[in-house]
Amino acid sequence: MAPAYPGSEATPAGMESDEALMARYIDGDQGAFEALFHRYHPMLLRLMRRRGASASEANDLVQQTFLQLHRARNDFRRDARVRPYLMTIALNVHRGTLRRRGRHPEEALHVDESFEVADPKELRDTVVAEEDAARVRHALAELPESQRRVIELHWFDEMPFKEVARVVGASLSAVKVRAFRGYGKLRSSLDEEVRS
Amino acid sequence: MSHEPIDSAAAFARLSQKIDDDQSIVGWLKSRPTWVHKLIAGLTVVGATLFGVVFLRRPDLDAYPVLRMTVSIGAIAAVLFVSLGWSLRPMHKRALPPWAVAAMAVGAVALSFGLAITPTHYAPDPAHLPHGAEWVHALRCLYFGALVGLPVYVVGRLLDRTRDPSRAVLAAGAAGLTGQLVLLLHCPISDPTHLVTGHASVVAVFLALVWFVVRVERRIRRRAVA
Repeated sequence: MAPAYPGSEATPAGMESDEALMARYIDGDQGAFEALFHRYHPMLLRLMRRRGASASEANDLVQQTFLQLHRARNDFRRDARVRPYLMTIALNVHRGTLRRRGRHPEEALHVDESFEVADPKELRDTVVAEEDAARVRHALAELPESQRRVIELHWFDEMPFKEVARVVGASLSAVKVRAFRGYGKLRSSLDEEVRS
Repeated sequence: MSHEPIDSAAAFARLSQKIDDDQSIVGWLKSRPTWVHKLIAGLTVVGATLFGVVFLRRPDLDAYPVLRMTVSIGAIAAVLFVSLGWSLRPMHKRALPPWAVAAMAVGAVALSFGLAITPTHYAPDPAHLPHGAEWVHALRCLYFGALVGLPVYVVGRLLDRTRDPSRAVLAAGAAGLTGQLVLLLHCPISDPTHLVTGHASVVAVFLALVWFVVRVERRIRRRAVA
């Protein structure tokens, strides 16, 4: 059964870590690959849906992501972490698909009413209904791409800033600044909506 | 909340089928580590260059200004290998921004034409120069350069794990520069008009062809989606 938060630092007792699974997979254990797939499949589907893919497109993109993981398995350093590795591949697959179609990555995000808002931190108390979630999505869509990306990974995918920095290819401090500004804009944008 | 049921088992079965279908030589090649990809691509460039040096060396190579030759080879090789390396960049690293790819393509063209129009202050012995119409020589050089660069492009595309068009552009730049490098070591004509039309044009032709193919593919995809 897939854990709620794949790849999180605290792997539940008895559950093999992503890194251990990946190591077994590199050594030729197909079962480990399947376990990784089931662990990350739902999360990657949500990621693709949030970035504007339709249900079938998201499925296809996740398949491509794992195909790329399979092809790139020999590039994986055994002291690295799996989640940022896989997330970067997923985002590159998404971006590459848009480029092939001649669409700019920033055009991709549209408001997808079916996507899941996962357990937010500071804002979680204010977002209690789907209506509120829709407001958040609209506010999020108005953020600059660099800030939106950081917030999506940190908030929705619950990645620590250190991993977000690896995925977006920026320094830890730059990511924290983007998150600070982005969350600030989100908060004021939502406050304005509530007041109006 | 998500309203769609997720059939993870069926999705994995489809993925397994895709992986099984990927068991060709090309699939095996794509699964090699990135350092192996870069080694294969680099050896292809070196092989093409050595072929030019050993079998088709320019007759005036010993008399050609050493500094000029060193700077030209160094500049071409530097841009070539960066372009080739970028075209094989692994997927787990952040993708290059579009402006970087465009800058590399423009840089490759600028370098080619820059070297072609920079005076060499060197007049080769007329006995070494081929006779006949200039445009025929230029076309021959263009054809030869493209032929030599083609394996680099093909290897670059075969080793690429993605279908990202920006990587095709980078591979095309590297292929064109390989052609120009071999031409530098092969052709004794130092007239700037010939160098522009027959040598520097190899990079431009590769890039223009790939750009055209990418545009056509995009148009076809858009029509298919529409």
